[in-house]
Amino acid sequence: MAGLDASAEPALRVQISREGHVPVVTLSGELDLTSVEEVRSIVAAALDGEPDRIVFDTSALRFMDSSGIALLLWAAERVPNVELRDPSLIVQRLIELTGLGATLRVLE
Amino acid sequence: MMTRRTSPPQARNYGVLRTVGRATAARAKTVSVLPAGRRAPRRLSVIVAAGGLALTAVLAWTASTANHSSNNRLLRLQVRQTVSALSSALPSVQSQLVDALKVATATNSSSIFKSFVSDEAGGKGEFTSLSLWQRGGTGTKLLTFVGAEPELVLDGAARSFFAHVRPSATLQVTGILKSSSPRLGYAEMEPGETHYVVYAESALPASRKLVVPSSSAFSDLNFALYLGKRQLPSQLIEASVTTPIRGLHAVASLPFGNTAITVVGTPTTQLTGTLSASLVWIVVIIGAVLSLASATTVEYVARRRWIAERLAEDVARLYAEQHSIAETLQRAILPEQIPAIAGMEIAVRYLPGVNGVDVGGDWYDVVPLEEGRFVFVVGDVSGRGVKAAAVMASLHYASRGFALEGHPPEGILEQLAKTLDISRDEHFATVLVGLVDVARHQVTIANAGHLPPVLCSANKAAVVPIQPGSPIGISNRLTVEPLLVTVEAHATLIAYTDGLVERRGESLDEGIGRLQIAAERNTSTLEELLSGIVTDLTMDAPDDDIALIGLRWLD
Repeated sequence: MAGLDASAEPALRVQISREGHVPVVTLSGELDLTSVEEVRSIVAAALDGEPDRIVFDTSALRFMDSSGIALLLWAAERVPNVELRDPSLIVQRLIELTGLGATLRVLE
Repeated sequence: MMTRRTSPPQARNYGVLRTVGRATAARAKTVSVLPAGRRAPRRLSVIVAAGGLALTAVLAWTASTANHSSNNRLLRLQVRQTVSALSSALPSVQSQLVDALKVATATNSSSIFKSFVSDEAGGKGEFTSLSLWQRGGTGTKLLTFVGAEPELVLDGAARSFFAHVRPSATLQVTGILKSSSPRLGYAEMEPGETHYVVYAESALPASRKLVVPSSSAFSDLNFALYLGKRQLPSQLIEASVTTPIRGLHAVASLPFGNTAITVVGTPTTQLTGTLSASLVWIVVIIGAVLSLASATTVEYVARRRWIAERLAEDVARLYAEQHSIAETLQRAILPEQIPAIAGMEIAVRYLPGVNGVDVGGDWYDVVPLEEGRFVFVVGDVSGRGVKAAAVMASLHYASRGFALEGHPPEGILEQLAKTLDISRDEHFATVLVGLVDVARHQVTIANAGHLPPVLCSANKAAVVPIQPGSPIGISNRLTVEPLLVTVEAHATLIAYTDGLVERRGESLDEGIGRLQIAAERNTSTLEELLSGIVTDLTMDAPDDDIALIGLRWLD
């Protein structure tokens, strides 16, 4: 599993920044079952200030599966507004095919 | 399941893992009982303890031998020193007798002899009795004596003794004279002398008890002195200890006149000193303590390791069991034999993913209804493991129940949405439900976040343009728009879970495109078609679980 393979480029990079009080989670690489728990704990730490909005920048995400959907839904349980910023086609199609366009606000 | 993993696919791993898991579970019956097996590490610690104690014994034996040998050497040395001290004292006895003899020879006067030796016998004198004897044709006669009367006379042994006395440079010794107070007698007859013999007797201590002063150089020893070369009880001169001496002792002799004095010495204490004597016990105690400490440490470490190994085995077994439970659950829920529907050919596939031992939550179902209708369901619960499988089970049976109650596809999904809550159940699910009217060639499809089915007619495959509602578990008020599709004769509808089409670095559309191509191949049976699809789309083994259902109209 890439998450455990030290010789390989990390499968996923996570960056947290803030725009005012709004945490911005920038994900690049591959978000899957092996990496999602790590992201979840990082995002959980960013939710300390109880923001009313969180942004996921997934423009550089090359792969996302239902684990990523689960992560976004988990965030949506805790923050009133979950926004996907500039999603890659892969992410965009996954969101569309999963019928979550209404739950997650997609900003293109 | 909608997940994929990042490791390179390994087609056979899953089967191997399962086999290992079952073997472990079977073996677990013999290894998982911790208390019964707690004795296991003993052997190694016993070996360590035995080795340590053996080494201790060797060291103790060496120390003991060294101490014993030193003790012996010191004893022999001290006894020899005693003998040499004694031998330097003896000549004075003889010289006194020689002087007295010379006086007698020179003066031929008993009275002068008597006055010459008056100080040497009796009272403070060295001898108990000192006498002058004259040798004649009829034997040896007593001329005069100083001190006590010679015991030899009283004893009546004078004749035989003097018969053996010859002019000699050595003192002639009588042996121990038995009487109320034992004495030792010695005669002196100078070489060349013809007339006179000087004879002296010394009293031995009544109990023959020798007292060695503690200030003496020899206070570490007890002695027994014997006349002669042998240790005959009758010839004991004196002793500072009960005779005969047993145990550790050393023997040395010194010449005394025509006989000898034998000295037997035995140590009263450890001659080598307390430390040397205690060394054996120090070695034994320290060795034993170290051996037992080492054995205890080994036992502790071995036990810890052993317990860790047992725990690891148990964990592996539990993990395998858990997987086995989840898999059993999933297999039990997924019907291998789906109900036969008149006018339809139906085939299903379920392929477990290769990653991990957790099972997924994919399922399919076919529920026959009346009037030539049936409901088919394909679903996928997020996440993996026993919990996901349990959620899958509840959704599976709930959907079957709602179908049998006569709910339309969108109704089934709306009802399902009320049974699952991601914030409570931690899982959500995508579900596709279709109601088929066989004779009318109609399918009513409702979709809760699931991938769209592919419809293949006249060797042309197309994605059914069904708009997905949100997945089950997001909201309990789900609204989905059903889609009514009318299919051509011999059409084939294929519904699946995302494991079939997901591939790293691709959008889902590309995977679905590959499915379309695979679905267009010409095969005589639906079973063959599904096998072909699985082969084409899972060139490398699937990371994720795959559930697949195919429906083909026979006319």
